[in-house]
Amino acid sequence: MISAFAGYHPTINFLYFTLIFLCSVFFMHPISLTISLVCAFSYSVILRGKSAVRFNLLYLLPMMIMAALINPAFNHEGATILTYLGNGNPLTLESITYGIATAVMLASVVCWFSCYNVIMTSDKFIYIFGRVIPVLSLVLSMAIRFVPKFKAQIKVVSNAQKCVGRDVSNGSILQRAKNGIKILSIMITWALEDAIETADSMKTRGYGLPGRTAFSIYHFDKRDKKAILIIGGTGLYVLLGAFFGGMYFRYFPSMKSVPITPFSISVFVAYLIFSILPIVIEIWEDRKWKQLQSKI
Amino acid sequence: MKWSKNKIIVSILSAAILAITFWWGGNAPGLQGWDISSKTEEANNSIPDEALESRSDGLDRELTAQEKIDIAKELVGVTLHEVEKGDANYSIAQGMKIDENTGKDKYLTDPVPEGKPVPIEPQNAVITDKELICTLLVRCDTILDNIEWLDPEKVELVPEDGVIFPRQDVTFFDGESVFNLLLREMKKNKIHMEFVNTPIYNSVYIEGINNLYEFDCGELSGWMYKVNGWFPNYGCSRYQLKEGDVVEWVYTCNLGVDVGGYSALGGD
Repeated sequence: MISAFAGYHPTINFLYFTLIFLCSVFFMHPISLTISLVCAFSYSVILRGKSAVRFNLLYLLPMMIMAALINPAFNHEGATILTYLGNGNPLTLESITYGIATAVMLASVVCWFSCYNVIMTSDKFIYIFGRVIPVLSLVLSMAIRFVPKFKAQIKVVSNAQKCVGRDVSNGSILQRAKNGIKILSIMITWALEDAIETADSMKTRGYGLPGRTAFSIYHFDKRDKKAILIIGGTGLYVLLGAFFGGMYFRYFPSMKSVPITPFSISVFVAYLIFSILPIVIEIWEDRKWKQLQSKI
Repeated sequence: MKWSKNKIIVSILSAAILAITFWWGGNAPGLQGWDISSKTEEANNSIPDEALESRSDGLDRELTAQEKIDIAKELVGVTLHEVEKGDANYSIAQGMKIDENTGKDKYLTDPVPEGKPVPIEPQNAVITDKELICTLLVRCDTILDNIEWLDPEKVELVPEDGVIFPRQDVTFFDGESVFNLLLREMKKNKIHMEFVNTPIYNSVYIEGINNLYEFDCGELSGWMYKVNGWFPNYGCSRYQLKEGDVVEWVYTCNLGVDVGGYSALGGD
């Protein structure tokens, strides 16, 4: 689907994702983790539909379970001893909850990244950084684009090989392995060549030279101003609030949270507004579109 | 290379980011502050009290490990007039297998001083049903003197008198090691204790007792043990207990110097 948030100015998208990555990595309070995971999960489903649900359940859930199990196996710190492990080290409540917290944190960051990939396309990235750091931004955008591009190309090559009976689905196991390696070798050659070709073609077009202008369709309009005010305002409030201990939570040696005061509640509410913002924008624009449609 | 405006901005920005991370990473001279005092001046302080005091304002953050050990050695020279030297002949006679080239045994242990028990490998120890009595004590009173170094989240864990497990007689089975005893008593008294196995020394290492971990009170802190007043120079799984032994687990904030156990770290 076409995302409404993607229609905003690239700086806003980039600012939003930088802030949300920072927040979801550093805020370890259970409430902020829940907010982050729920928002990231629902936004990725809104953006990518069924494939996001499948990815989240198939890969993210096992990863979360693994992260949650690994921590108490190696970390035995904590005041509440539940039982003792086979080798004599204690199994503590704190290490289990910390394992779950890191698992939730990891999952929400991965979810936010999948949203980032949909919203921040490489042309937007280059639009923002192409002037300041032309070489690095091109390299970065090529690196980020590499895996999806490689995946698409491997399908093309594999289909072509299938036509001549040399795909990984043809022949005996040995033959299949041989074909697979052949396809891989084709792909590596292609990837190297493609990278050089991209760099050359950018060079011939004068990319990164001083005085060169680039066409872009991005305008910083009224809607963007409003968005930057809300994102900047809530984001700044959340960061300042966290800095002054509004989201304080410690896991070791015993779990202790910031007392629920109007200040801490306000920080959490600001964080909720901040995290849920793109979802609100999507739904709001969707409704506006439908309303306009019915009037015609 | 031409210096355009953008390049200058970017280089200033990256320098700023590096400076901030350096600052917050705790690697700055004097933790999170630019309090630089001269190294040689500190190292020349041969009076232990002064040298110890000066540590709290950042000395321990700007010295290399070797320099720290040197200073600790110097301090030991003053505080302990007699560091017991290992006796190779005695140790071999007691059954320790010492490599002639390194002067150490298979698990990198120096010979023990005369009259002290040699290490007994836990896999060779024969544990019988015979019940014996020894004394156990776990204390961390050195933290009370250095409470400003302690991780602020852990201050509440330190008992007022610094005693985690008061001196008392405990039973053990003949053939058990100091570690077996500690593990059982801590379990019995519901005191938290974490250890990790270190195959190279063929012993466990006690990381933390009562959630007070190594490095929680400065980077020279951790748990040490002594039996009958002697800090063994090998791990607690290899010390076989005898009837009437007095086992003390103490928390050091200064590489053993403050509890009188520097020699156990194998200075030479």
